[in-house]
Amino acid sequence: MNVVCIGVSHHTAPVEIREKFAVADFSAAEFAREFRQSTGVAEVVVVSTCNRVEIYASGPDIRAATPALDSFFQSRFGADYPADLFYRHDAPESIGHLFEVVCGLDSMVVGETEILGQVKDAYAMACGAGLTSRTLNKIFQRAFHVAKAVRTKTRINRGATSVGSAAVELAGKIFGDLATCKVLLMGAGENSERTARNLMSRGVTDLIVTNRSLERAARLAAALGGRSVAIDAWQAEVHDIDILIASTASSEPVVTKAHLQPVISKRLERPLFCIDIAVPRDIADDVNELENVYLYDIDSLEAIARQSIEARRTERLLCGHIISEQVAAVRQWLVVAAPSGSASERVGSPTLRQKPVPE
Amino acid sequence: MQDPQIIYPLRPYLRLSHPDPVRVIAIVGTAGILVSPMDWMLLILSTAIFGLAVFATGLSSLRLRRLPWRFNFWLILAGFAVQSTGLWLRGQEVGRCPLTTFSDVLWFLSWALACLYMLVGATYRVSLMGAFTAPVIFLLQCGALLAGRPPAVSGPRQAPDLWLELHAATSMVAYGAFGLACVASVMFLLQQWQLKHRTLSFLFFDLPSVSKLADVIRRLLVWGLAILSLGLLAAIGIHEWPDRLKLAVAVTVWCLYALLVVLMRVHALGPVRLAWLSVAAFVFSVLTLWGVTVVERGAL
Repeated sequence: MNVVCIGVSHHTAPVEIREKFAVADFSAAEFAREFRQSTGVAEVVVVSTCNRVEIYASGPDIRAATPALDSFFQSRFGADYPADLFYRHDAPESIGHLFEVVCGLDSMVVGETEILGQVKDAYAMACGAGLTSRTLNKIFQRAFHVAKAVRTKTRINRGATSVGSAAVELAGKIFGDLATCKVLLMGAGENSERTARNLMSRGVTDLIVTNRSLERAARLAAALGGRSVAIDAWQAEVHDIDILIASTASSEPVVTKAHLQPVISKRLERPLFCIDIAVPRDIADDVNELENVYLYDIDSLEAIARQSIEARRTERLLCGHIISEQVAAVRQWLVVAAPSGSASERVGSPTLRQKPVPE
Repeated sequence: MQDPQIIYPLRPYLRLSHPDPVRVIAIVGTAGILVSPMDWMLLILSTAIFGLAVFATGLSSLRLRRLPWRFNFWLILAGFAVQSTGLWLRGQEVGRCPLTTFSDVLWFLSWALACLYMLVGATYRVSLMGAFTAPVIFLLQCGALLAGRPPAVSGPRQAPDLWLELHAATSMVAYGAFGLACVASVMFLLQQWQLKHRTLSFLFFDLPSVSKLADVIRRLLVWGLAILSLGLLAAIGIHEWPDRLKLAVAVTVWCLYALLVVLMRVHALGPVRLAWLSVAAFVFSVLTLWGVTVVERGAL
């Protein structure tokens, strides 16, 4: 019994190619049935996300099904479908690849956890449609177990990998629960909005927007479900806020230590988190000297994101050990007739585990 | 004449001409433990368990082995169970609450600290608190061991003064709360330093938020002061007053923490200064316990 993985991902093809092969959720079952019927494989699971389209198939003689696989793709996507952009893994590499995918090791952002839910949904769909049996059931369930083990035993999904998520993570370590936090946005541009939305995804609901143009402030406030104030009135709001996001077009610092000192002395127990994503900076650096005030500018947020990415790279080694052990365990269970040259087939590309980590 | 059969396996250890120091210490130590009274054995055993918790924390910190942080909780629970049994046996021996010597005091204090950690840690889900509490408990118990076991009680026992026992026990529980506030303060200062200096270590992700830690510190200081107040009130009912030095020390510690709580309530202290003062106050309190013992021994 062999297990094969055929697919295209962000590593091999740009989005304009990948989107041609994407399989919508509502048609995935039909696609999978058609695939099984055309190729004669016993089991099939189709995983289609924004970054990959992969077909996991199992059958007593996958090698014999290879011509059928090629003709299926040609009939489905046209005779000139870019075969060189598709990769194919036979067991045990296909099993290792699946384990890496569900652990987020093959994702654009290493260690991301969304892919696990997507693969689980794909498997549940295939299972519900009667497209899986003993082999793929065993392998996919083991894959989910591996993902959980990797998450608990390593730090692969620790740390923020972008400026926005770094700001949210820091806010969480200052306040704990963000649902009761009040946020003041100085500046109504895209950066402010993006950072505010990141915080809102973690529970923030109370937002105040201020901008040189009151109309723009009001528009953004309405979009975020908050309220707007005139730019001159921002100091009156500072005494009652927890997070200050500054992203104005000012060439000089708008918020200085002198502005905040009298405010902070009256609210010593309440921390203030200042996020300055403007260039030139809107908040003077010496504001960080105030007790219970934490100031982060764009450089420090990017440094945190880089540190996290680097840390995740280091964790890949440990994840690799865990995955190798599990693949070996599955191999003992799965009797595989490895075809000659059964390693990953992708012309001109390194094997997946040695692929450079995407930035 | 040949050595008896039983000697053969022990021969390497009994080379008197070239004794192996490590083996000699191990043999003497083991023998000492085995002939110790049961309560002392349990103190040693609980100290070893807490030492294991410290060692496990060290391993995780050095990333040599990825032990789950909850491992600490189970070790502290096991150590607490052994501590409790040992204290009970000690209490049976002295016929009263086992707070008769400096060693007893440190032992009881470490027991109170472990008990409060399990209450606070579980109630407030303060992650990593066990990793920081275990070393403090371990040090206190080592201090208890170094202070030495007092001689066995002989002769007729005096009837315990219940007010004195209540005063001593509640005071130690209060000190336990202050000790845990000290632990939370260290965690707060560490997390606050990382955030302030934008230098995030691997502990950053496991430590709770600074707001949560500040809240835990405030609550523990208030509870500790309340319990210590009960202890001082209980002292009023004591038939034979404790010596003036002990009373002065107890009142001084109470005043120190009362001042902290008042400054905290009137918002005159930021969380950073409160944390530093909480650490300093607890260290001072433990040093006064030791100081009183030294003065008493000198007077005797």
